[in-house]
Parts: sequence; C-alpha cells; structure tokens
Amino acid sequence: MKQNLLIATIGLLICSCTTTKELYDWKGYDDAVYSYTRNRDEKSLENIVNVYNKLISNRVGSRNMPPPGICADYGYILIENGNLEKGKELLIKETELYPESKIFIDRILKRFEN
Amino acid sequence: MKRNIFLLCTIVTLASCSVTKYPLKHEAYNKIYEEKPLTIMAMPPINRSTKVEAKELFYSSLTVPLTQKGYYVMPPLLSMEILKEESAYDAELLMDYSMKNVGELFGVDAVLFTIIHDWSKTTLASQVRVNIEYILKSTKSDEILFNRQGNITLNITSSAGGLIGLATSMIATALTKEISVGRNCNIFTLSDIPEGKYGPKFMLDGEEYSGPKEINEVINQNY
Repeated sequence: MKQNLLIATIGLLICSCTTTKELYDWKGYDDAVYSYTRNRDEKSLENIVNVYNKLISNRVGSRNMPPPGICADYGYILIENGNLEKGKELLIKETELYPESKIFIDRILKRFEN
Repeated sequence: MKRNIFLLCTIVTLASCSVTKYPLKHEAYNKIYEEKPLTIMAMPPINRSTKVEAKELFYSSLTVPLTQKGYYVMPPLLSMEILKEESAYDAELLMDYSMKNVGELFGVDAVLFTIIHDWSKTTLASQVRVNIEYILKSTKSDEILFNRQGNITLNITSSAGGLIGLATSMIATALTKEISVGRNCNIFTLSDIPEGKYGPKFMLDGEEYSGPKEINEVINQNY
C-alpha cells in the first residue's frame, strides 16, 4: 500500500513538473516601464535603461534573444534624451533581430535622415 | 512491478485528461490558423471604467504575454508616441473602421483592442476587480481573430499582524496590486490564444481545447 502511494505521488509529480521555459526573459520590465511612463524622471529613466541593458545581454529565455521591441523602445528613449547615434543603432538592431519590424522602424529612422 | 507500471500510467493519463467542454482551438480561432498573424500592435486601451489611470496602468503590461505566446508586438513606448501623433490615441473612434490602412502604415498583421469595462476596488475587503475585453482584429481581412473577456478579482491578505500591519501593507502595496491585477488579467485571458510563429507549438496546437469566452479567476495574494 505504502509503495503504491509512493508511485502515485511520483506519477502526479511527473505530471505537474512540466518545465516549459518561457520564450524570453522579461524580468523587471513591467515595473520599470510602468514607472517610466508614469514619472518620466531621472530615477525611472536610469531604472528602465538598466532593465533594457539586462534584457539585451542576459538572454535567459528559450529563444536566446532580446525580447521583441526592447531594442526599439530603448533606442527611442535614448533619442528622446539626446543620444541620437546610439538610439539609431538600437533601432537598426531591432530590424536585424526582428525583420518584421522594418516597415515601422524605417518610418521612424527616416525622420532622422539629414 | 507490472501492476506498479500500470498504476503509474493510469495516474499520468488521468492527470492529463482535460474537460472537453469547449471547441478545439482550430475551430474557435480558425481565422488565426488561416491568416497566421505575426506582428501585433496594441492600441491604447478603451477605458469605460471610472478609474482615470486605468489606461496608463494597463497598457504597459499588454506586451509581455503576447510575446511569450510567440508573437511580435510593436514596441509599446514608440507605438504610443506615434499613435498619439497620428491622432489615434482614442482607439474607440477607430474600432469600427477598417484596419487595412493601419496595417499598411505600421506593417502589422493584427491590431489588439482592449476595453476596460470595470476597474474598481473595495477598501474593506482589500479587493481589486477588473473586467477587460480583448479583441484582436486582422488588418488583412478586418475579421475578428480573437475575442475574450477576463474577469479577475485580486484578494489581498496581509502577512503583518494587527491593524497597523494591515494599514502599512495596504499603503505599500496599493500600487503593486493595481498593476498586478491588470497583468494577471492579460496573462489569464490571452493564454488561450494559439501560439504565434516564434512559439514551439505554432500551428501545432489546433487540436487542443480552447478555453471559455469569459475567464473568471480569483487570485489570492499575500503581502
């Protein structure tokens, strides 16, 4: 009887332990983007920049890529804060990582052409 | 030994059986399997609740669950800025029109409208309740690809003792719980959408059962 109970427990554990790794790592993003949208101050800017950098370099998700839109939004924030060159680089990086974003991002980039 | 293996197999089978109440995903969402949208633009939420901040609280949390389902979601901060410039901030005015122009302009396959029907809290019971409708509309055919409603209640319980503990906890978590309930509503309601191109089950989940049209969940959180 005890043995059967043990087997039943193992069976249930096998069923409940599904290791479905998420496609991307978004850790810290929701709070940072919310705070930035709401406050738009130096502290929230610093925080969101740190989160973006982490999401771009720590590729923990199963796709091993920065999440969609991250490079583009980071680039946009940099441009908004005066760093045009790095901002443009990041916008271009988004189109390289996700070619489906090209129509939209190219429209933004056109604004900064001389 | 044989008996044990049989027992193990029976338990695994029983645990994986789901209730077959709703249509299969390829029936419930046949347009998604037909059109295979990849790029989605989330429109600014339509706020029909009395909560003024709801729109802002909610918009930033729409991206994550859709990307985890394998879709490309347009960068939210950049999109919001462009939509404001294009006078498209009030999504309610656009909802009944063709989305084909939006599709061409932004290079998106589908547009996600969200309607916040209710966003309210009861201080005494420490509850926040939201009722949000999600409508994914194709920019190719103007068909509705996905339409679900989430009805989520968040129950807050305090881990600190006594009245002082409760009051401190309520102040500290006021913001957190407001964000949390919106996020949870997105996660629960959007979890039924078939996987997009980047998901491992892209075009393979059609034989899975879909969920109900209205999702009701009560979540208990301890702070």
